[in-house]
Amino acid sequence: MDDADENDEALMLRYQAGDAVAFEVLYQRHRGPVYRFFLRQIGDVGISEELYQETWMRVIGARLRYRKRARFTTWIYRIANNLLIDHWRRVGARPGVDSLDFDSGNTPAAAQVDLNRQPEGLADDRARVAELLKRIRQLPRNQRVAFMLHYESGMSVEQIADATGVKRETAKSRLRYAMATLREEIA
Amino acid sequence: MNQRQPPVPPEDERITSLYQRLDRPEPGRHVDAAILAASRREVGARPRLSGPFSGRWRVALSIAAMFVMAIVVVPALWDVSGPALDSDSLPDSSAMTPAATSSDNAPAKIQAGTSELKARGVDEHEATPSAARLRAKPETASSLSTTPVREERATEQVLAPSPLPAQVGASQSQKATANEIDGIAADSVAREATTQSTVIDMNPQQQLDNIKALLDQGRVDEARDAFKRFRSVFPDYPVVDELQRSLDIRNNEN
Repeated sequence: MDDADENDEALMLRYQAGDAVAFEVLYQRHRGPVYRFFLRQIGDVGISEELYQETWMRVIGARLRYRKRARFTTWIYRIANNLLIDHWRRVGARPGVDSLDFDSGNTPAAAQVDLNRQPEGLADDRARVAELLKRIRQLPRNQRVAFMLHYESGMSVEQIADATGVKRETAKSRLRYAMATLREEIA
Repeated sequence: MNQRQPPVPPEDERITSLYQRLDRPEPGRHVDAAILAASRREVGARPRLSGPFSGRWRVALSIAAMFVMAIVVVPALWDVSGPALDSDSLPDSSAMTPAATSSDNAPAKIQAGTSELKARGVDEHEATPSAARLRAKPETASSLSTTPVREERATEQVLAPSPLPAQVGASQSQKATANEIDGIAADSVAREATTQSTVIDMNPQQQLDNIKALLDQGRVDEARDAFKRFRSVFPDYPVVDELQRSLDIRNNEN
């Protein structure tokens, strides 16, 4: 079997056994999504690269503890999400959006108004794309993480729940509210 | 991975379409180089490990193996070889007492004497009970000290003709044998067994021939004493009338 056809878990086990080439294949496969997971939420290249590098360093350092029963993407995004949470804690919760719990659907009126505000001058798709990115960054933190894991990494609701350490219904709720918000913004 | 988008409801297709048009930034090359170098360094710095003996289990298994060695193997070796003695605490072999030294060699000496007897066609039980007993029980000098020596003395007295070299100092040998055995001198006991095997080298008929030779040499008293000892051991052994008569005649002549 070619390295490119081998699944993530087999590659990680090969690297665990000492195969550096397997790690390079694994790295090339996930470097973009993992990096964008940070960049789309933080917006700062320097901080994103720092957290991104730390994520992979932890993967390397914990390679002997990796077990095949854990899906590799779930494992690495759990590491990435924990680093992201630590980052938010260090810099302090952003006022307004990040400090609110949207899981229950109790969106404050101010935020609701802001999210529902129709941007003017969206004449072309390029502007809409830029607006989407902006709205993504304005999503509540947990919704944003769920959205990124779903759209950037292709995770299912179950995998999002596993990576973020919450119940399936919670993950599903976060993703649903994120999509609803963006849908209203982009429509 | 990012090409594998999950199915989305129709209302979300627009969001999906827009998201896919976003720029796809990637980490800088310097970041890639640092991560890949670390991954190679990590593999090169540690031995290749996999399977059940890797990771945290390695330490636990090592400790378990150490306990097994300490609990099972070491006592087993102790039972086989006895307590390990420091070479400095061991006595010098040249300084060991003769008894202790010969105790180890006694079985070999007895075995040698018995082999000699067999080579000469003498049954060891017939030759001397003590030799057989010594061969059967060579283990301790203390057990030898408890062995009755009366029978051995009688054997020597009967079987050792006085004119022969083996007979010289028979009484002294008799006393020495008793003393040595009583004194737990295993070496002497073994030597005694060898001596006895020499003394009893003669079967009954040879003893009678020696007695006859003593008579021919005119050593009537010695011949008569030898015959008495012979009879004490072999009371039923047939003796030709001629020899019996010669002993009586010589006795009468004297």
